[in-house]
Amino acid sequence: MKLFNTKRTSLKKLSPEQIAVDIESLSVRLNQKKVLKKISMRIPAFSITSVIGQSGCGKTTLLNAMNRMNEIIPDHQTTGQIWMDGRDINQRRENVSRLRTNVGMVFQRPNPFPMSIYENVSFGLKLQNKNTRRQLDDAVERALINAALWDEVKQRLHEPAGILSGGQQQRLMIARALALKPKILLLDEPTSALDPLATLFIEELMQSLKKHTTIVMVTHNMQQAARISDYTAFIHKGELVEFTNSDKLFTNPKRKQTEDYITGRYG
Amino acid sequence: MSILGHRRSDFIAVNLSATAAAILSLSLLSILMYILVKGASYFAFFPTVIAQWELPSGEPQIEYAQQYHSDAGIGEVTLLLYNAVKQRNQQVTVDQTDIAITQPSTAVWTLYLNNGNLVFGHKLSLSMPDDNGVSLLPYSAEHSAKAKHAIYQLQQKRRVTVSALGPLQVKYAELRRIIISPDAALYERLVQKIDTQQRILQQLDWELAQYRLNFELANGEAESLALYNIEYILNTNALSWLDRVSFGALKIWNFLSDTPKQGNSTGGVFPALFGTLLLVFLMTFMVMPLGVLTALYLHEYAGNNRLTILLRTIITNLAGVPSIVFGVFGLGLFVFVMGTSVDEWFYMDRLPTPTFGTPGILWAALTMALLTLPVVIVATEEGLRQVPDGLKKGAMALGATKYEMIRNIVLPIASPSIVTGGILAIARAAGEVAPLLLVGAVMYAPNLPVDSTFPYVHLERQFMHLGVLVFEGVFHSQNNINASSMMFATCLLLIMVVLVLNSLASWLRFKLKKQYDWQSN
Repeated sequence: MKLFNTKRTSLKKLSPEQIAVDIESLSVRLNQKKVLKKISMRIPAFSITSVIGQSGCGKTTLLNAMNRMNEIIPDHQTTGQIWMDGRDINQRRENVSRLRTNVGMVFQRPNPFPMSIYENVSFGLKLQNKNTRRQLDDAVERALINAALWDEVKQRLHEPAGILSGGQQQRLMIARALALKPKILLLDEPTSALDPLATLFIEELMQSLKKHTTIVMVTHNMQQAARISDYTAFIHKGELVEFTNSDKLFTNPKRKQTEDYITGRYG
Repeated sequence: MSILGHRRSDFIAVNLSATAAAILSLSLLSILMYILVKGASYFAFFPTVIAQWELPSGEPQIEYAQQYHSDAGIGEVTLLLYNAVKQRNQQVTVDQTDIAITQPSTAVWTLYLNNGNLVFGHKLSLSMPDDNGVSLLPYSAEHSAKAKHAIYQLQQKRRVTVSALGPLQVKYAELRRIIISPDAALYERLVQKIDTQQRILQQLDWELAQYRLNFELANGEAESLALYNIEYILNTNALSWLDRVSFGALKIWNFLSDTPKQGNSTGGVFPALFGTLLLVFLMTFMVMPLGVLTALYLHEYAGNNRLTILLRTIITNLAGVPSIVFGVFGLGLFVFVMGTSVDEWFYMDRLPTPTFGTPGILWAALTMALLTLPVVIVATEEGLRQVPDGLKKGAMALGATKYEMIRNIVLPIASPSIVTGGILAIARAAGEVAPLLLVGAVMYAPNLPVDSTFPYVHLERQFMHLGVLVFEGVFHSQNNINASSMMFATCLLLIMVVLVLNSLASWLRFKLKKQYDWQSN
């Protein structure tokens, strides 16, 4: 398997250009509860990084922190810095809408809008209000091709998105995010609601996407994390326990907690 | 029967609830049927009979009459007569023993007058002016068409003259108002012009009156009426089935397009229908944005704190406030405070005659909007609650601001519920009477709120309303069968207006629901 023949840079030796997201002592409080505690990690560019951990350990919150989606919860508080492209996105003057177009997100359950396939994919672009019809057409086609969905839907672009199967819908969600050409793609358990074949499709898709996108994925499926991700972070009760090459983490974890988790002693 | 119906308690529960449902649907159905039957009688044709009786002085009396119905049990009969002296219809209910009713052997015609009266007569003939004076022609379709054509042309001419006279009279009034002595020559010329026009008018009126319908009353007295006063002439005893349908349709059309006559006891209801529809549309345009925005604020923007809870409680309770209270509030705030201020700011020159400072359709619509606001807010919030969080998050994750998310995702998905709120508001506003009586609805309004004089829409005007017309009909219905059936016909129309508005909104709701059906995912 490709698990062992991929060359990966060690996380400690990353040059500044190779870092997509640099998180420095990030703490998040949601509804008066400390969810993330002083997390610092550097997420390498053009690779797949998995975040694993028990339910409620803060994985999703970490993901949401990267495009400031935690702000949807009325009672939230974030401290620490998240650097992307030399900017701290937690700054007050950050344009959150533009940040979210640069950092795409796909959720656990496919959530297509009650519109046509075409409108779903072009939704983000239409909001920017600066694209002609032709540009939109091109962008939609490109996004659907990149999401490996084009051949299946090109005949029915203007039919409601609800008619697609679960796996197709999830790829549509990826296409919807890709249409905005994000630098980073956040995937929150993208395959947990899908059957094995659809999961395989999405995993292959992620492999092809990482050539030009940095992917951060939350997953409960440790086989999946080991199979497709280059790096894996283990979070436990809001703290980053271990973050290293996937091979290393799954074959030779340094910390006892990690070992307990991946061998199924808890969680 | 239900599969669970084998137990005794179940049996009782099933039968009790089924009985309750049956009673309910039966009563609803009977209300509808009652109004339908009573209202339809306004468009029905009643037989014309000969009524003979003796006056207290012993003098025999013979008249044609329309017989409404005879109650065999009581032995009373209700008749509609035409009083030639008073020139109006009269309704009498008499004992059958006092009166002899026979079927006429000759053709008796019913003349439907423009003013709503019915005149009965036989031996019709037409008087028409021609080159050598006036000629008498037998009544026939050909001759009456000819006469109608001539009358139509005369009336056309008359209309032209009247419209020419209008501005002249306005100018005359203006000249008279100026205190300083006006230009004598100009004044002279104006008076002369008015004089000529008026003489033309008199001439035309005289010519119009030359076309007459002659007939005989039951006692053989000759009578004649100017033809232009007669809307149509029917022999109601000899109507075929097809005639009944077609003239019934004509009556329905007149009911919808005519103005009320004789103190709202006959004629049509067009001003009331128009007023009702205009009121509902104005109210919808006011209440929908306000209600939807309030619901959006409460659900999407306001935090979940005590103030919001208090606000929600107030709104829900507002729905239970008696409508007359809203009427008093509308009168106090809108008419007396806002209307008076508007007059002081914009219509200073017309004071002390108030423009907006009196009840009018604008204030009525505002009051109704206030009355239906809770309904719209509650229904809209219900719809907003149904929008899945996942879709909202999805939109935000694609870079939508909160406003864009609400516009593109939340509002379309909630739109069926918003339309439902609109339906409920319309149904309530179209049927409400009590507050309207205080803020602008009247029994009779001489002008429509929309007409051909600048600025075309006169929202300060009082208006007529179907519900108010029904309310007024109650006072006539005791002693006037025609007015009573007109009241029921108005009821029927009111029900139909609400039904049509509701079905329109339901259709829209269905369309929207189909388009934004997120649940099919």
